[in-house]
Amino acid sequence: MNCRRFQHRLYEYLDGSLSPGAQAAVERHLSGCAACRQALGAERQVAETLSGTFRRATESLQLPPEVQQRVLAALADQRRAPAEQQGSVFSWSQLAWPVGLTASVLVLLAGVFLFPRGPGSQMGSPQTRLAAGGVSIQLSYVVPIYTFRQEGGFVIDALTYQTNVIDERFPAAPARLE
Amino acid sequence: MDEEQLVRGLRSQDPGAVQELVAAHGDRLFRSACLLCGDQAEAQDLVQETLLQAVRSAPRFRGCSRVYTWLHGILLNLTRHYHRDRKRMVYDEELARQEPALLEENPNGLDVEMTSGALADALGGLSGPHREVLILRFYEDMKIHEIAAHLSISNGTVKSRLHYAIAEMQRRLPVALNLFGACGTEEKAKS
Repeated sequence: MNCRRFQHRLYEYLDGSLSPGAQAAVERHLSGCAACRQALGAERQVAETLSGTFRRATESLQLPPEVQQRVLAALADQRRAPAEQQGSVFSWSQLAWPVGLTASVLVLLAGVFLFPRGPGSQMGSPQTRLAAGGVSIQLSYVVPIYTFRQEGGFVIDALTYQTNVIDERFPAAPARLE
Repeated sequence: MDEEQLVRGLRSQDPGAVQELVAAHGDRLFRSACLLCGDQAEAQDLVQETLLQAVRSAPRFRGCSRVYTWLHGILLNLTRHYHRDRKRMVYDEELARQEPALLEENPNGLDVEMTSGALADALGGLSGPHREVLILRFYEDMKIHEIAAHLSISNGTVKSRLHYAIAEMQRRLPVALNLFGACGTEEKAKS
């Protein structure tokens, strides 16, 4: 081991976290190197000084009892809040998501049953074409999308349509796997 | 109450467990917070928020570390947010002037009041990451690999930050205090 490697392992040596082999190598180096022994002594002195200074500067400090009281009060408030919400007067905002979801489902079903052809002339019934060596089926359908969001005390909703097209081609005979 | 029972109590937000947590770790956490942020009032707020977050996140605590280490991790995160809000930290004069009565007990015969003030000033001049490693090493007595795990950085980064932080402390602490003896401020002043 040389001085550079010793410097690299100095902290771990002080921590006692080196492997037995590395520990022995460090000690062999220290026994023959005055400069590294001095560096080790200096590091120990720094550690002792800083630890002592930190301790002396803070040892009289105690957490004021109000802090514990405030923590317990905040937790009690937190526990109380949901219970009060459950027993409180009716609020539209509590129903926003269930109502919105139900409305979306109803509008979707209504769109499927009441507007099977959709607003466009090309949509609705499947079109079947005979392609060379197979069959091509095109199907389009309209999906009504009901979206809503809550802003402050208001629920804002919007109804839009999305047209989906399915275009599938089936070969006349299933392809044979080689 | 052992740590497992303590965590179980925290999960159910049992007030007794919270009191036990404060009794076991409150003062130590508060002192560490004072060193980290340099202001007693802020340190109180930081510890209060740390305790609240600990209770709320107790169901997610898997017990891979000691309870104090877990608490200190929360405190460090909160302290970083606090420092982000304040570009430059100003240390509390009260903290700097703790325990004048210890003057006679000081084995080195140093003026503790002056030393604490100088220490607070020197710490306040370090960057957050350098202050963190210094406090974890010399106040929390953590080993290099423990600091690395606590801060999610490599051992090499810890050693490099520590080396720089110590050099800065030696440079910033007044020569008159001669805290580091032959290896420290006095030696540097002569050279």
